Amino acid sequence: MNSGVKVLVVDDEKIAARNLQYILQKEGYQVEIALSGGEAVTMLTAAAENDYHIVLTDLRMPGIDGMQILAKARELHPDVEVIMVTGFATVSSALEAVRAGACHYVAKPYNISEVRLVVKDALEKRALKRENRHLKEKLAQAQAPTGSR
Amino acid sequence: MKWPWSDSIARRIQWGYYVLVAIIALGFVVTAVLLSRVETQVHSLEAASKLLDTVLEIRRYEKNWILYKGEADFIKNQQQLNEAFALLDARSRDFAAAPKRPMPAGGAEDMRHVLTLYRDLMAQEAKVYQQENRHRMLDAIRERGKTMVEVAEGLSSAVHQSIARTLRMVKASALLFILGSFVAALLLGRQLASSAVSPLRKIVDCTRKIAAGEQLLPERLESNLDLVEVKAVFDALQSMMEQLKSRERLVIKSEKLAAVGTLVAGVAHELNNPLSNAGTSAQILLEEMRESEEVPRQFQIEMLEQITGETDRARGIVRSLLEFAREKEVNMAEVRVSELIHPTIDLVRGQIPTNVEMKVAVDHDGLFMADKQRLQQALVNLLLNAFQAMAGRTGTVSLRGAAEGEDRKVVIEVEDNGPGMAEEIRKRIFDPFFTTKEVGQGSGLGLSITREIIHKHGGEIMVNSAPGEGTKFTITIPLPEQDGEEREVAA
Repeated sequence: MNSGVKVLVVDDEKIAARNLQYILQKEGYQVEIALSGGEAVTMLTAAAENDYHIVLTDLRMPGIDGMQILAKARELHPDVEVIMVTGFATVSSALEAVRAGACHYVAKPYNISEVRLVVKDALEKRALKRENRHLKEKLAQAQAPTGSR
Repeated sequence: MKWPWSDSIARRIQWGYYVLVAIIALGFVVTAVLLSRVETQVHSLEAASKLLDTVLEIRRYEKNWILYKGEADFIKNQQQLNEAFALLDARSRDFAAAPKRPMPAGGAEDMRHVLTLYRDLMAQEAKVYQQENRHRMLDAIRERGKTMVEVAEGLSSAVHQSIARTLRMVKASALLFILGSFVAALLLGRQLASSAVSPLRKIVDCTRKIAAGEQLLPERLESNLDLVEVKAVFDALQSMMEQLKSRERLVIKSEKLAAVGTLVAGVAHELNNPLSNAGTSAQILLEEMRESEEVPRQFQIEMLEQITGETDRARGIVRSLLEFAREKEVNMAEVRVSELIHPTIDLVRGQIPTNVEMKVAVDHDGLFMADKQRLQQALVNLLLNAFQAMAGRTGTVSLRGAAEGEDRKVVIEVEDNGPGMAEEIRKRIFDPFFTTKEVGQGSGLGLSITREIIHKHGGEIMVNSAPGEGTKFTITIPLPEQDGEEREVAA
């Protein structure tokens, strides 16, 4: 059921990225990993619009950081949901990220079921948003002919 | 140079001033005495010249009598003679004041003597003239008259000379005193400079050196330590230096602590990622094994659970280290005591042991300035400690808050009737890394973080405890003094 869902995991630590990949793959998602901000941006740019459903990114990375990836992802994939992964000391900046449009944040160290729950939640949110928009469009379409009459 | 009569700069200056004033006063006194002498001598001079005039008159009438033989001239001559005697009697004091020396023709007494001789001679001559109608002793009379004039002139000129002498003395003494006070001022100035100003200059030098960061050398001032002012300044400098040193030590200590804090924060932060990775890996493996088709080996699962548990514990330690080391800025805002107390209880409600009764009370509600979140953290620390102290016993833990308007403070108490603690433990409970829990069970930072938070609020935390008598923490946070007053005025 989740096989069509494409997730991008961004973390400069390979083990952390692989762990997340593993956790989410078990849920049936299609998980790709990027080991730096730059790599992530390249991947996001190369993909078709809304190809990625979810992006899980570490907040603190050398070079391009989580906040920049958040901005880039939302620009290229309007429907994408971004989840920030962060250490203790950056909780306040994670909150800032949420304010900037990230849908969740996960504090390290995390519980694996917590991560799965957050991703599931993000997916539901994404689906709801899309459905909402779809319905609105339908409504507009239905109303349009009435209006012209 | 030793000043035996004075041990203070002020005294020395005072003494110098006295000496100068004394010299000047002496000058004035001497001049005044001399001037009063001149005044007396002027009187004498007046008397002497009047006497001389009278004597000349006597001689004029004498000559007229001898030349024209008129009885009226003789009578005038006798009248003038009497007047001369009268003058001598009346102005005897003036003549007495007139100097006797040098006086070749003698003083007032000589004058009287010469006048008496002349009068006698004139009386004899007058008798002879009456009987014989001619003069017989004209030469003797002229001789006596001449002597008389000479004595009178001598008297007058003697007085003149003595006046001139006195005036010279006045001049000389004035010059002498001007010179004297000049020399005295010069010497005293020098002396004061060496004994009063130079110690001050040394002090200035010393303070300058201290300002430049040099250490104060006590022996440099020792030679002037007998002066009270220098000693006072020196003592003040010494104690200032000591204070500075102890402050410096404190600063170094707090800088060290800050450096340790930064280090701890860095290490804790770096540890967080590997810990997190290890924990996640263990969790994944554990999940794998549980879901595996094969019958999982209990031992392996146990080991993985241990890894997970231990990484969790390490995470707790890292979190409290970060909490301890973080620059803890407080964000003050107006908070009601009740708004602080009741939500705090909600935070710990899940952790209240079943056999512990939790009592909450807000005696006097009121506004005060606080960082609500951080103060709550402090209270949670205290409450969790209290719950742990109960260690399965039955008892109560109470949290009370009150805004005491009269004392201008907020008092919050956390009390338990648990086992209490011994004095040696009570003394150390606020020290960082001090813990009574088993190794690995607590970081020993909770109470030191709590105290730090209270201090950031300008408050104090005290603990009362004795074995068997429970423990009571009392937090006191002052209300901002002026704000309250302004508000009262505004109200």
